[in-house]
Amino acid sequence: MTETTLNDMQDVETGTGREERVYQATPAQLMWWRFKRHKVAMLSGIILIAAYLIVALAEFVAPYDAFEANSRSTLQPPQAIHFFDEQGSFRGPFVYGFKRGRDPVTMRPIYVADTTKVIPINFFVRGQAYKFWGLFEGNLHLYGTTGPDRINLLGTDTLGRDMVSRLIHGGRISLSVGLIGVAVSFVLGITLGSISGYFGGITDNIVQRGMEFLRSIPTIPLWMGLAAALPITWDPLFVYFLVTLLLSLIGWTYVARTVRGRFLSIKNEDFVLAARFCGTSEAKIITRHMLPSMTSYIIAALTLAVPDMILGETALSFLGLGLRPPVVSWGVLLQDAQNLRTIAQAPWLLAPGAAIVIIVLAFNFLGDGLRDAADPYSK
Amino acid sequence: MAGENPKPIIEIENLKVHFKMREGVVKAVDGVNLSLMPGEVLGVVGESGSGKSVTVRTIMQLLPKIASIADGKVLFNDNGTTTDIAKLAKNSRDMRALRGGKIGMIFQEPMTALSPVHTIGHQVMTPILLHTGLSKREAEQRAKETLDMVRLPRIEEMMRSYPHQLSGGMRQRAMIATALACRPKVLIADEPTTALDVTTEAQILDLLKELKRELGMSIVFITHNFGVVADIADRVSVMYLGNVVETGTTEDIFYDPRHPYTRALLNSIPRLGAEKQPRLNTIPGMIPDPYRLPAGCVFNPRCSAATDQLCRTTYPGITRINDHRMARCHRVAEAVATESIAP
Amino acid sequence: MTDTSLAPDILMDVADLRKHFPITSGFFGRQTGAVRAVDGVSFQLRKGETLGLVGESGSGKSTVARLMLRAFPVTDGRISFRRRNGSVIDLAKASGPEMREVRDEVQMIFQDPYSSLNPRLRLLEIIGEPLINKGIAKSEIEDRVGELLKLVGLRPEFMSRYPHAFSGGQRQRIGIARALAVNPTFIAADEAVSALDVSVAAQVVNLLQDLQDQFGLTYLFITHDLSMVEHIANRIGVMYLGRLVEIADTRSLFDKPRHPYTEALLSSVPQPDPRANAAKKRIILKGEIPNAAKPPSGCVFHPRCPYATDLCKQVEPVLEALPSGNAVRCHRAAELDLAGVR
Repeated sequence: MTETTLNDMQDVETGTGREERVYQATPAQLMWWRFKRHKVAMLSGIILIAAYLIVALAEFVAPYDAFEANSRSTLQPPQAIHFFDEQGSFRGPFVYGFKRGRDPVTMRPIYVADTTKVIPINFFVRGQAYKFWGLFEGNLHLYGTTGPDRINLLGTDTLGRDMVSRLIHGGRISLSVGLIGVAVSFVLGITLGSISGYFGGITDNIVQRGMEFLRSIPTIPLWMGLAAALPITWDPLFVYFLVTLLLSLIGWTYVARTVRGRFLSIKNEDFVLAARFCGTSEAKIITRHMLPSMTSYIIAALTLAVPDMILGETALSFLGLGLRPPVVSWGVLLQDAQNLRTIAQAPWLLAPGAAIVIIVLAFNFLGDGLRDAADPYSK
Repeated sequence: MAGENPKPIIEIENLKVHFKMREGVVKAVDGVNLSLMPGEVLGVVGESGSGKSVTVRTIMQLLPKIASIADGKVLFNDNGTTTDIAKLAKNSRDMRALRGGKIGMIFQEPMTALSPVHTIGHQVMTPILLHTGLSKREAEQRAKETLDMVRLPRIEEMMRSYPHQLSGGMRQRAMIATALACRPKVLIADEPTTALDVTTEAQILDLLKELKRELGMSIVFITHNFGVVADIADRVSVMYLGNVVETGTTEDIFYDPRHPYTRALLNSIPRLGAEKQPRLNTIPGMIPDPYRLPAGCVFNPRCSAATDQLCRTTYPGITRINDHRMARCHRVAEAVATESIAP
Repeated sequence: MTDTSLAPDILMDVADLRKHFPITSGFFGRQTGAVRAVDGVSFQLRKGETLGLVGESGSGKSTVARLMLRAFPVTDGRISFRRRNGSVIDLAKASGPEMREVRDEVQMIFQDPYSSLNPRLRLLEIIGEPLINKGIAKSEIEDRVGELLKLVGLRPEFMSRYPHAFSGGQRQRIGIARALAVNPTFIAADEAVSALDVSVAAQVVNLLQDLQDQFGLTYLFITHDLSMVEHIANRIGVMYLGRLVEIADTRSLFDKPRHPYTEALLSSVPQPDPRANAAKKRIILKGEIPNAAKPPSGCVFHPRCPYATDLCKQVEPVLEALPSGNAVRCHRAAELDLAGVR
């Protein structure tokens, strides 16, 4: 009888090396191959990695700290980078210094580029001393000037502080809010989402209604109330943690919904029943069959949840409810751009707004790409 | 039935449809010739990947975005005028007039073809209002007639029902009603009974046969089920991997199949009430991957008759066995050649 | 627990099996009714035979198989199963650990070759899953999986591939290999070839028959394809709305059905034989299978039955054993002369 079975032998060639590689590709590999084809998502991923690297190394990348004020150069416009001077000879990257004057009518400072004053941009210069992550002493900066002249590629604010430095230091807070918030959402979302999806019935009902209640709370009035209640004497960093916690208390519902949906659909897949028939224990069914089928969806859901957090922090700080100076975040920075005058006279103060748009878009594109790649087995 | 009226209502000539996939181009339909005579049922039968559904969907210009008609004609002959559907733009006025007007289509899943948010009455009336100049009141009357025609009970109530309120068989009838609302010349039926139980399937097959008689329309009936095709079709085209391998009258195909694929397939189906055989006959191997089609005749690796070099190197052309029969097979061509030489 | 009254040639005795799925509504999930998916099904499985179970969608045939493997709790009834060691266990009441032991002897093949294999595991882990659960050494599992792959007509080196490398028919072979991994005595095949193309289905059916001969397996073959079941089954049970309406050996069922529903089913199947189809007088049943939550009074088939009488509308018939060993659930079984396919 075995012979007849063997006569039916499926005549599948073992496949060329390349095909065999596809046949034996792990789920992660398949996901990566599929993700790679999503060009916009790839680019977004690279932008985000770069952004997080920059803010992680903020003290080194930024030429100054966030607070170094200079009354001689308030509201100075951005400086263009030049390579060739007036005579057309190559000087390497440099900026022109500014001549500061005053408008005789409005008394507003006016800056005129001084083409005789060439300020070369140097890399890896020793400059202002800092404590990296508050731990290690250092004074090496990615770029800067060696002389007494300062370099403000994105201009300065009303107190003459370098916008590039403030943007980078502010980004450290704004971007990490997203990550910490998502970490909290992740724990809450996975736990409650799986409980809801796995047990179903009345438990599911309660969790679902709870989530709907949370989502229906008008957030801005709630936050305004809470912000008013927070004592002003509290450490700004502590407030920062409270803000993230608040954000994630709302944000987890999105993750929970995804997890629950996946649980419900996977629970009814035949392969889960088959595993049960193989004598696999419930715990192993969840860890070996159900969770691996969900991880990719969860990653995608988390990625899409980050921009919500970032935007939430920005909105709160912008309204003066979240972080307060001296802590810098993009929302705090945008507070400076709150009036029409600054926008008209110093549009560069809106740079943090542009940064937020880029980061949020990048997270959304990355999330979309991950979601598309999440199920490499669908056609 | 074919001889009296020589002009087919639909003629597909050398149709090629290509799908652009990430992995490359799939020639889903590769040179198909089909014709549908007025008043007949043409069965198109084949396994998955045979391109049967894609072929007939081109008649309606209902191809997915990644598909394109690479070559060939789809001629629609009506009242002396001939339209090449393959040349019409997907959403042109002419195409929209044909689709749902002169040509109706029914699908495997009524739930995806019917809108869940509109009543059955609304959905049957829509094509009537779109394609005929009838007033709303007249259209309603016509819709009721159509529902009656597909033997739905309690017409008034049915006009106000939503698809989810109906059972599977009734939904199928409602979908047939939407397709027949404009009294099309041609009905395209894409596996309309596959999702149904046998007793319901029998009801729908009977209904389609009766409607064909009453309305005098032509039907293209796609299925993978040889029993169904034997029951409803006048002529049959058998498809394999993007091409028609054999066309003939239903009698010919079932009692004298010429193409080795048709033979092997018919042999592998167990028949009700037949002598019990210890094992089913099988076709060795499996349907090839569309990205790596075999050289020569696409059936040659699984074919018991493929012996000579020709089958492995050259794609067979069409052999006309007689007026209403054709096959695409080197071995059939050889046989026909010897027959015609012999006295 | 143990009931040794099973005749020696019987592997399984299903008695008055019931499964009612509650219908709930409202916030607190109050039960407002029940879908009687399986409502009093009794039959016996003889060792080494193939029992076909046919019926339309909603007849409860798949639920019967899932109950026999305890995919969910049994509402009522008894499933006596003779274990390999000779003892008899009631699967309907078996405890968790008992059931886990019995899983080595009862297995299932699924309909959908795609959703029944976890796409994220290699064949080694899919087919070897029951062995991994037992904590058997990896090299031993590899040997066994290679052997099983050969048995179902696939190459042993495929064990490091993932399911996406395979077509529907091959995936079904993988599912069969998984079911065989524990050396079962009983396999429920739930529409195992329904999703496959004609030419591939024939290959898989042949494989199932070869394996039955080789290992003396007992099959419950669930399908809606009457031609296929006639080919593979020794005996056939016909289900309608959660009840077994007729059970008979294949030959008598097809030659001379005793239940009007069986007759209608047989006459409805279109045959790959145009002349026979034209000659056949087809019984077209009125309406469709009723809702299992609100079954009709009396005989559940009476609203569609061409032979129904007043008695049928009021009194539900019981499954009555005939001298031949077959059984039928119809008031008029004795007087009706129904047409078969020969």
